[in-house]
Amino acid sequence: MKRYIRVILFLYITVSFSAAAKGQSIFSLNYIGEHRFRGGARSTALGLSALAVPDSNMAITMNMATLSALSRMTLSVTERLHMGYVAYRDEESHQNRFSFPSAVVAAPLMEGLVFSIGYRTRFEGRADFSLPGELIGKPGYSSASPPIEEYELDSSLYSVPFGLSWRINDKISIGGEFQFERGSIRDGVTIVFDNYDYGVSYSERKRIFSGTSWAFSFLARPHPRFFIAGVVDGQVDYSVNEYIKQSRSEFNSSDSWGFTLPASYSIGVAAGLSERWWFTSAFWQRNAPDAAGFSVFEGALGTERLFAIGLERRINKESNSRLSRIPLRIGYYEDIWHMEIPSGEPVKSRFFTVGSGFGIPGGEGALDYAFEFGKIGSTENNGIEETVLRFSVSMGISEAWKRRIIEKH
Amino acid sequence: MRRNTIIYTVLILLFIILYGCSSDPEAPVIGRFKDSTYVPDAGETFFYSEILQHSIVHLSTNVGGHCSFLKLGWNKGLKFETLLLDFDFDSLVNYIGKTVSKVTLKFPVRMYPGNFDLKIGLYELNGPFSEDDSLLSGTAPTWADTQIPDSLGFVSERILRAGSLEFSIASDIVQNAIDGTGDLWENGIAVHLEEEPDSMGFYEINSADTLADLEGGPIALIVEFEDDTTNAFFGVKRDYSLVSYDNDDLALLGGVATRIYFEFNLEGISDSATVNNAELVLNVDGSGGLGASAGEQELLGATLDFYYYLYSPDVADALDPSFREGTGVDEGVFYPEVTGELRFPLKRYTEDILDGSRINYGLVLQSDLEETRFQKALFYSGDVDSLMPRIEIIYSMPADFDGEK
Repeated sequence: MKRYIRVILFLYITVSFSAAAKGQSIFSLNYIGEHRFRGGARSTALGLSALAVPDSNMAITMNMATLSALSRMTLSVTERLHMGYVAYRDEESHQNRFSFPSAVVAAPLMEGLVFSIGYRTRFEGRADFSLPGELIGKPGYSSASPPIEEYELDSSLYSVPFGLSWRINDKISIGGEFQFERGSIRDGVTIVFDNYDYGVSYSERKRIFSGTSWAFSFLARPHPRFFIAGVVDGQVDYSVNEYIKQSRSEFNSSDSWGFTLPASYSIGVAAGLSERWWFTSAFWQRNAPDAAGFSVFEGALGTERLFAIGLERRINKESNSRLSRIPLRIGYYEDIWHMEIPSGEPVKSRFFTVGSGFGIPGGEGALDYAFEFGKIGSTENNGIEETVLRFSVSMGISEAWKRRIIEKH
Repeated sequence: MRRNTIIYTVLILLFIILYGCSSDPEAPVIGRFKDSTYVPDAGETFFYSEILQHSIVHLSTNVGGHCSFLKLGWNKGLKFETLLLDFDFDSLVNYIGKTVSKVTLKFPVRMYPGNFDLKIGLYELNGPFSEDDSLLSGTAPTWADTQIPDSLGFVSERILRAGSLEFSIASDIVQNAIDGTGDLWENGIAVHLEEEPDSMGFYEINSADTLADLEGGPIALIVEFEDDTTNAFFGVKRDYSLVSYDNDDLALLGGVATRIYFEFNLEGISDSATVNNAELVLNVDGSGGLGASAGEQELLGATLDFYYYLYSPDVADALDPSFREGTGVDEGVFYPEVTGELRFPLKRYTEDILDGSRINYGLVLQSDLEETRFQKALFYSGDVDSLMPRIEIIYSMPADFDGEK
């Protein structure tokens, strides 16, 4: 157990402080960033349709009510690598990025009652690019350096949820979370010159978000091969403090306002087609948030919707066939973003997913992985599109929750 | 074993992925959002150029002239045509009762052009002068109309040429002073060129400020007596080289306090601008520049560097004594004998002007050796914008976070 904790901590810290730890899609530098759905690599492999899939190995799931199935203290970490190819007019760019890992630790307080705490990113975006500027009014005889405009975006809205999951009986479980909502969006603009004798001009806007929210969920099993689940993730009323810093500090300013992220609703099912083959589906929706603080998106924000389906072939522990002991997962999802670029043309993600996993020898946990292949946006509708391959890996380790026995000699 | 293999395989894979992946720059594909939905917009960057109003300011008082060598001759637009000399006759009383047999003016020439002679005349000054003032031809005291006669009582032709020279002086001038029947050059004498030089170049003569260990000593009056083998020696206690130059030139002179005053208004620059760079731009005409004379180079080891000091005066009125002082903006060296563009950094100064922490009284450029060395820097001031004295400022406006696309 200690070894796995060390491995996970090592991975977590390495990725967190890596220079490559950037955001997600290139679309993420707009608005409040790209929405990251909760769940681990298994959920991803099933096309984000695993809302009604109980999981006895992982603490990171799409539905916290499923945690009531955990009988051991469990730590799970999920990490995602994003590899994108962006095409815009005649320009192209390859973008490889890691996202900040999410982590949840769950501890059974008693049989069927599990407490959990974690960290997960709701929205994130990060970019670092420069564009040539114009030196207005430069006469022909001057050899003065033209400016270079450097932009830097670093945004992350994250949750620290404290949850309780309760298995009421064999047919129904419920869960509830109180979430601290924090985060910031920092936009930095620096004007630099090739001539190092020239000074730079720096402007920065930092918006610090803070709030709290509630979430409730359930998982019901009306039939041994049929699960139904629902999650309500409550509205977040962020208070936003904005600070603008300039090279000339006398022009610094600050402001504050409120930003509301509406509640989201999701419902999903999991149906066993046979003992090992399970069909999953989920629908998720959040109404259009307001454009407070983002006036450029006034009238260009819509309802976000997710349609997801998946198919899983579970392992057969009794089989001697090696293939039968490997789970197979495929899925498809379409996510219609809040953002409309241009107004009236929502950004859409369409992904095919595939994945698998294996149990960590000794029965102390599991490792799931998933690949996503798809597109975000479209040249026809949005003027730009990104072809994406993502790789997600979730690692879960667990240990029985019991008092340590000290041997006395 | 299998467990370790899996874990370490995963670790290695993640490491490879983590450190092996690299990204292209987001630009230019970012242009799709930059032009529409990505809100922060870098402020515009401007090039501001203002042709400077300039004037030559000659500060005549309280700026001393203590050069190592006195100069006579023309070169680089500088005309040294007169020396002012004032002797120390305090010891003259020691010779009361003695009879003067011979008087000579010792003239230690230390450097000469070598290809021409100079005809000079010696005149008694009509008024006093001070080394501590900056004097030009026209502001200095006048001198008598007739030359000081030689030992024969005539006005002989006195020629300046190589070597340590001696010019004879009528002995009765000194004798009368010893006897108390006449004054001995109460205000000093003037050594004046009697004709224009045939060629360009300076004769350089030891001055009272010349280092004592240099050969020759200063100019002195040597008096011989009939009844004594010991000569009397009356050295120069004050001396000065008067210079003139073309007043139409935009010239900066050391040795005399001739400074250039630049005025500008910076109108049109926004109060919220951030200055990225600001420079005073001048174009040197090397043909009219003088870094150091031949004597200063060879005998004192001086370089051709022009030592400048740029300051913001405390007042805008050049007649106000406070004009000669102010807040330093820049100092350094340049080569006045090499044609080219000079740029003096003004970033901090213009920032202070724009944010109101400093009043714009313009800028004054001066020689930093104006008390000790004649130097000249000549600048273009014609009609061509690229050559005219100007201030160039590159500034940028704050980024726009309002999102008005």
